Amino acid sequence: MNDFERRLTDLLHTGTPQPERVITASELSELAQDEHAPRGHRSTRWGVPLMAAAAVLVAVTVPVYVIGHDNNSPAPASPSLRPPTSAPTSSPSSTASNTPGSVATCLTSQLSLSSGPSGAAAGSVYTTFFFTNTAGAPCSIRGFPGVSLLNDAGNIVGQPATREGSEGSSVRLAPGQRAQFTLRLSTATQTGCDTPRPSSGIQVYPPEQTVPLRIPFTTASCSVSVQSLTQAH
Amino acid sequence: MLSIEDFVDQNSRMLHRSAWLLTGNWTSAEDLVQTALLQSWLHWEAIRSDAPEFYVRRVLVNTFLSGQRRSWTRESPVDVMPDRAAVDELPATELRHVIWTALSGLPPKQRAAVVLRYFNDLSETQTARVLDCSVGTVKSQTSRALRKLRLVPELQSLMEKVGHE
Repeated sequence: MNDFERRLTDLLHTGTPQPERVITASELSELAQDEHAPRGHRSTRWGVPLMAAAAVLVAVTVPVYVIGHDNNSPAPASPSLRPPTSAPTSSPSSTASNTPGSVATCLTSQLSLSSGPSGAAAGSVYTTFFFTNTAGAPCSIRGFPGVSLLNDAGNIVGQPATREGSEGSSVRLAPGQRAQFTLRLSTATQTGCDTPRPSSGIQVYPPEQTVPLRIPFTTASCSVSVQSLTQAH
Repeated sequence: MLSIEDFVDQNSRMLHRSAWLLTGNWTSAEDLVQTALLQSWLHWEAIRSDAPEFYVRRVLVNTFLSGQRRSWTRESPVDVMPDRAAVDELPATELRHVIWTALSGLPPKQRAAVVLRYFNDLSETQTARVLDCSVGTVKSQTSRALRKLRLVPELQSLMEKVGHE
């Protein structure tokens, strides 16, 4: 890769917007059923009418799934025959730990923190950070990390990072896999940052955890905001 | 063994972002992702053991490229950068605007090659596999695309700022 290609890669990684919503497995489950319905309404776009139609379909078919669904049995051969994940929670078998494919929330002790590429645009510096699953089992992570900057003495500098954008969807981390989040630091006068405060470390609470991780991170900024975790590419 | 639900949850966000780079708007991006993921869902048993991410990207790109052949769905690229006075207030908006302005100037296949190589971080060989073409074609498509992108001044000036502070 030459320099231009590297810069293009950085730019695309930093600047490609995050979707406000993404298609979820439960929506696809309903669409897949719709696709299989013999004379059902086939649609290539999802939308309110389709969701309503799918909801009716789910309501009609759910009792069959509940009766036929055994928690200990392996997944049905055809994915289209799986019970919709949006099935009513009155189903006796539906508890969080039994949701197909669900794994435990990543604990701080299972994660390591590292910093990735940094970029700047219009008065802000963007830095990507990674949580790596260092445990031997998969875990899942979702939402916003709790981020503060630290001075040389290890004390918190300024206000914790504010949240930016939506919470995002759950990221499953197999052993060795990474999730990432982007931190935006206001650094220049054009963003109202006249006296940036220096910091030399960063403290990050993984979502839902009470123990933080700390690594060196030298910068100077006025305010910090953080985006939700996504799968690392 | 990876379940289709996990596959969807793990890949949906990146697929949406890739599709946005191809189409420049979220409505078309969602259409592409839905088509690609639905195909993966319906054929999961057949594809799960053999790099399903290639399959889903291939459907996504092919759907995009075949949609492009229909003139009535073609987007209208912005050929002149509009003046933007308040860019400092909206760095993210500015970034996406410049990125899309630059990418929309590329023919669809070159755009697809750029997205796969530089956003999805695929090698030339992997890109060729997704696009179902030779490595030589990937090389020529990307080098033509890069030549054009080098001529977009807004992209150049943004690159000066991003990534090499």
